[in-house]
Amino acid sequence: MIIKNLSRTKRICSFIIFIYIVIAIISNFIMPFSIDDFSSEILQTPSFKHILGTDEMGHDLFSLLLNGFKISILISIISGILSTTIGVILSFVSCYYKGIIDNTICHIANLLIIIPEIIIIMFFAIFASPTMINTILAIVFFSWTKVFKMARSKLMGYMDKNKVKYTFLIKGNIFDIFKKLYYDLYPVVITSFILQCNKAVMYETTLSFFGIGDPLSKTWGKLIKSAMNYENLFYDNVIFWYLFPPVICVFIYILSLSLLIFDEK
Amino acid sequence: MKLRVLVKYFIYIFLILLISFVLPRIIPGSPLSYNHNDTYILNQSLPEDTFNAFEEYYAPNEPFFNQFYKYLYNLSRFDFGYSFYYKLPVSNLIFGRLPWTLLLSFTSIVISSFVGISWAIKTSLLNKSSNFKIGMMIAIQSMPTFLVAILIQGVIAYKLKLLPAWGAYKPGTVFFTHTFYLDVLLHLILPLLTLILCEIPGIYILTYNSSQKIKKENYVIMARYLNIEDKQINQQFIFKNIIPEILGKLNIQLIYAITGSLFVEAIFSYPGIGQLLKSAASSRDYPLIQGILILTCFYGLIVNFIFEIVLKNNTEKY
Repeated sequence: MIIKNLSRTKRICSFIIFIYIVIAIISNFIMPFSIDDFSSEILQTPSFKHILGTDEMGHDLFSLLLNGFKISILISIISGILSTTIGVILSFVSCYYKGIIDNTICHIANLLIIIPEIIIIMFFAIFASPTMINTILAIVFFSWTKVFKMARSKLMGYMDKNKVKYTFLIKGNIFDIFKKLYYDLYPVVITSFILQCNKAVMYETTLSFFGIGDPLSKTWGKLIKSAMNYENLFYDNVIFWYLFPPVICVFIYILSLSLLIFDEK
Repeated sequence: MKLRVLVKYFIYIFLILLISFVLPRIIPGSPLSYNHNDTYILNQSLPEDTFNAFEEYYAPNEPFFNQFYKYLYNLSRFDFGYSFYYKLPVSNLIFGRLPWTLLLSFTSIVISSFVGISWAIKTSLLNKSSNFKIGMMIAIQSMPTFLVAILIQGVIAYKLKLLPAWGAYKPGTVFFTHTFYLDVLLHLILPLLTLILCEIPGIYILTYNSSQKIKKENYVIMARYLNIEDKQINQQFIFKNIIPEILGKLNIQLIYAITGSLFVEAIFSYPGIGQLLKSAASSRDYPLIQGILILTCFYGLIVNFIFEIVLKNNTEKY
């Protein structure tokens, strides 16, 4: 039903995302080696046993890449859900109470737009202890501003509708307003959720690349970082099976997410 | 009106100072949160005088309010503390590296806004744009800058060996001679290319959207009814109205340019603030990252202030 309304590009993109999620779910079962297993011979070129070769510690790179699917997509979806929820709740609060609460939240959102998000996320993540939850929290706390702006502008338009006025007339509280309006807000929430997933992967990859975050959770960013740290990366085509696979995975994921919400008009 | 804007910016400055003060003290696991174990571990792992400088600057044992007062007092004297990694005052480090970052980000934003704006206006006026082109632009825009930088560095500098891969000048060149300037220019090409590539799509989409909007305005439609030549419509009705609208929205691009240049510098080992950020992140250099945060925040505030006061009040709309 929903698929039929999409254009060809979007259908391809949603198919790619679907495949990514499937790989993430079954990655535990199709991994040829465990990620803790560094007993293979080091720095092998691709072969049937090791599809992408091994790194300088003896990890199988293909297994690490598959594990990256699992953790990166998990981080992106969790922080997407959380930051979208925060943004939507704050927009409801600011539309319902108006006045000084609305002003305060708007000013904070404006401030977070003025200062570069990624710098303050890095600041938070460096000070926090290096766990995956802290990385997600850092991303969630400082990236809800765009969701808030989109949802708020939409909600402000709905505030004059009859059903909302009627709810106010019979002294409905914020939950009643939410019940009346959540269906109208549905498209905005979907769009901003995809946007937030996109952003979360970008931020997580950036953080991992700078060496912030849980060193044990092998995301794509960690793979890229370890590839860049390997000093002989640019000899003997090592770059093609060490650096390029995670980079291409991140590229395709971000690309299909951002084409999915692209407005073709 | 102007007073309100000033008050707003004072509140913003206060909020930024508050965030940069409070966050390190409430995050669990931070060495500044009220936990003596952490300070004890830091005491073990850091050299004696660095630890003393750290404790003298942050004074984690004093009451909260005294700490904040001390923090503000230090900032007013441009004292950002003492870097763990470089063992130098943070302010010296940051202000010494600032010219390189400004050179990179301003050159890139000037070139990319020139290219992006003129390209977008041209395509939208000639009705030549396709969905494919905009899709490509969105694709490039959504890429993290540092990944693009890695790919460009790997392919052009290391594989093909066309241009220098790192640094801002060859070590050992005599400063301020002809060869030095040539060398700086040669080293600037790759970081600049990456930044321009990452900045053009944002500016392109911005300009394209606003010119599409202006093309549908009533006065343009009226001008078409009056049989005014297309060329004149483009020049006098559309072009003159696009420029102020874009200038009003370019502030966000300027802020993106500075973050983009930080990441590009980190990849290309360009001696700007980005390199400081990289070493601060990998060695958990708290004073340094705090200094960088405050600097970028103030940069963003100043850019926005200039755009809000100077440009929006002095450019006529329509």
